[in-house]
Amino acid sequence: MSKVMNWQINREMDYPYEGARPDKQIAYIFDTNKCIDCQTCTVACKTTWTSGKGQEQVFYNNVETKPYGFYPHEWDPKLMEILGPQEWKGKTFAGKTIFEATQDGLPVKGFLPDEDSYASPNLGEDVVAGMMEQGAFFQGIHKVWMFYLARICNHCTYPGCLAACPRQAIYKRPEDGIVLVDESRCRGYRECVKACPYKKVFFNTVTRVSEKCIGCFPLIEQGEQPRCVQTCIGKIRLQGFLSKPGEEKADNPIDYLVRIKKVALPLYPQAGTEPNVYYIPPVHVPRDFTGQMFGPGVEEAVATYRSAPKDPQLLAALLMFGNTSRIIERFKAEGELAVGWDRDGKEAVRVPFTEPFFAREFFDKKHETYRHNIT
Amino acid sequence: MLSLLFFSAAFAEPLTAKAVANVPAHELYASDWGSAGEVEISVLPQQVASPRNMAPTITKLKARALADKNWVSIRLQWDDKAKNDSVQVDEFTDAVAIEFPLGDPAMANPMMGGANNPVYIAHWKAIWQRDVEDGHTDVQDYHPNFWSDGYPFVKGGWPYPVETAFSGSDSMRYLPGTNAGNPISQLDRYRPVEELTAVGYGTLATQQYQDADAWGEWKNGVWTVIISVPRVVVDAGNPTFETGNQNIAFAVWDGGAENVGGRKHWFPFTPMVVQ
Ligand code: SF4
Ligand code: SF4
Repeated sequence: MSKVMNWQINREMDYPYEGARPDKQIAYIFDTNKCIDCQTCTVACKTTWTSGKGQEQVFYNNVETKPYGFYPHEWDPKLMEILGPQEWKGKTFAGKTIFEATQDGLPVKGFLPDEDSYASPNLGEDVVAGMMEQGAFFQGIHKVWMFYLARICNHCTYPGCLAACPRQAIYKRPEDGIVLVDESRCRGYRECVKACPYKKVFFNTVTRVSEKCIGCFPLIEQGEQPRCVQTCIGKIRLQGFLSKPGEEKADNPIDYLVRIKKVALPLYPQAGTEPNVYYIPPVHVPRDFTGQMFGPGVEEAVATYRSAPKDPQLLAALLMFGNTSRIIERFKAEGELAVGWDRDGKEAVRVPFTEPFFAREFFDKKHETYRHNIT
Repeated sequence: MLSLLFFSAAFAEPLTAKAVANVPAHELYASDWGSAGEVEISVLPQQVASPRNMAPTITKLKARALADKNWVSIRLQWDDKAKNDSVQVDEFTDAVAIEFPLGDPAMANPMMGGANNPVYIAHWKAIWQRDVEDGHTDVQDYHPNFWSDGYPFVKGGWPYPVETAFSGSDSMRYLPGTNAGNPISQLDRYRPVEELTAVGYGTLATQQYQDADAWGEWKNGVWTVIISVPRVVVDAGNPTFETGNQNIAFAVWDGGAENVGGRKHWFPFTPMVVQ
């Protein structure tokens, strides 16, 4: 085991390989507050990459309803269970990561889901956390909660899947940090399926080897955002590149939101893989739940997020979401406008802070009818 | 001393490939097999390299060997209460393998060989036996009531058997392993054994030319598998069997106990006599 620095848990940790950060790291931000669970992302991904035989249960992208939705079934309660109770001391994780809680000489602690765990891709959809009191729905804001968690491979800095493969059939691209399974080398041992804490490596029963999200690398190489990001109806997603720790650029929207404003947080950072999909936590969910899921920065992240209307730079960064297919490398607030540029320095986004608002008459005189929708 | 023990071991009587006119390569219970001396091998759980087999389920492998002028055949038998010949996310196949050194037999490491001393492995898999007998296992074999809205660019009709419906290059792209030429993902299989070479951990590679043959059957809680290796082939990746001494090592996997890859039972190089 080597010692590597994991900034998300604020300490060094054990990892089977030497730490080697890529030149730039593919990263995503998902705003959980905006997801409407339309599953457009899931379908866009499925039709692009996984509509072959043996891929019926392969979802590189899925959207699950928390707290009772999971794919595969119960993946995260099981992860919490195998790791046991763990502690954060302030911003430092004092427990054991999947690379430190290992047994029997294995490089990673994990578990293999059974076949049935993959049988219901959207089990628990829209199930809320508790019972609603009679009439609560009509009496204003109620306390019963749920939220949608969109999930893809995290293209982790320290991938569990890669660490566990005895054949080195999984690799991380040095140019952009995308983690790939070499489809010609894999022999279907499923050590990676066991090891990925997020269960984002899938086993194909027809080809008998493992597969995972490829980060839409053919698009990335052309400066375009992945399919799940481009098609997102709720405009909850932004993909870009995260700089190495200490090299953050304030005009890179990913660096700015993740490392500078800390408004977007990693999913289960305590697993230790340094995942690179960052979530703006749901503002309405109890902190003990989101704290376990996104780590100790939730309170601050929610407060910062709520301050966005009064913070032009933050607002501008948030307006980069869903407004272009291009990967935004640089952004800024220009008066009441948010502007973003791609890798070629070409302007790719220019959006107003406040959308123009038009109200029409309730009664349409020409057609002599009332309008249902006037805005 | 320790390394010698680790690299090799010997039985009281070495495994002897008895000379016959024609080896009954697919006749699992032919009388010739009864006339060949049986060697009982006490296999060990593989606990040297990660991932290890921490819960061994197989203790004994019985071996007999026959040879004719073209083939050396080894018949292996072991107890396994369940036949595991399917592969799903949580299902693993039973398997057995024999291994021969390709370099200096005294220096060959049975754990996947080494850079200067490669090893040859012939690996029979229960799922491949099923492929050869019944065709490639398909989604409908595992889930008869499955439904899918459709598959891109396929030929024919529901349930779109992979062997025929996905033969076009456009549809094949949706079978990533097969499209990448991975031997594990091959759809048309003619023999249940794979010939491999290894030069150290993580280097196991399918040979370009597949010359070995095998046949196996599970009956009443016992697997019987014959693996036949040609005595001489124009393939540098194969051993050559002159009359005389050889070294052979063994490995066996219990799919029902999630054995796969390094999670196996094994026995180091041991002398074998080819008549
Ligand atoms: S999320 Fe899982 S599959 Fe993706 S890189 Fe991390 S460990 Fe590997
Ligand atoms: S497309 Fe966007 S809004 Fe719709 S489910 Fe996916 S992440 Fe949520």
